[in-house]
Amino acid sequence: MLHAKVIDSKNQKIEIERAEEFLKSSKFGALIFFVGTVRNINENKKVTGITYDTKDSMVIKSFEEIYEEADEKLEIKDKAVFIEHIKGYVGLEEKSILIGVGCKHRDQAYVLSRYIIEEIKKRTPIWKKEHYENQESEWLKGTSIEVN
Amino acid sequence: MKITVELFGAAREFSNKDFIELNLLQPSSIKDLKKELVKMIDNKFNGNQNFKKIVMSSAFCSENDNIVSDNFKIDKKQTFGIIPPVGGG
Repeated sequence: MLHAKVIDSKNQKIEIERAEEFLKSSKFGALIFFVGTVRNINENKKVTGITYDTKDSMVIKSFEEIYEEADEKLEIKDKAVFIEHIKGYVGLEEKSILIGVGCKHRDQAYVLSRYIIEEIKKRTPIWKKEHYENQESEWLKGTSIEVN
Repeated sequence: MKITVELFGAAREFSNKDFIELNLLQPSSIKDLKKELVKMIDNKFNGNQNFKKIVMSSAFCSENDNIVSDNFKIDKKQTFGIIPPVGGG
């Protein structure tokens, strides 16, 4: 069971309650929530916010692929996953991503949560433009997508 | 033939619009598309090296959201997305 969505910061915020509601099940003994937020310092620069750019259709496709792969690579069949990522501008401390996972046991839940965030960072088409106190801004360097 | 390239991430700096349009010979490949983008950067941005690096480190996706290789054949008018190095979260 997967919930995957890109949230436009102009209209909505990422809320943990939505993930809790989605993951609630007596089948799962472990729920883990990973929340990414905007940090105030990056590489010694004072950050005021981040604009996230996304290719929405590919983001959803990527979330689905990562979820499916978990079956094969991690052998975690019985699971529920909630992923929301922001697009648009978010200020300091605001949520940029929420990954909620529900599994039978905590070991699986920790592994799955970590796997999802690391894969998203490597291959999901999302980009960050950081804004700084001196009014400047900069697209952050990322990871090139593998082409087969 | 006219090829549209949708811009994302750092590649958005290439234009004020969300896309750019290029003319390629028929048939061409993604490799040719990259060359044409570099040519556009030479003409429009005085050979901006950072912009060229973006092109060379980017992947390209087809209209159905598949990443395509440098050898992918382009034989009709279509749209691609430029996918610069990613880093969400």
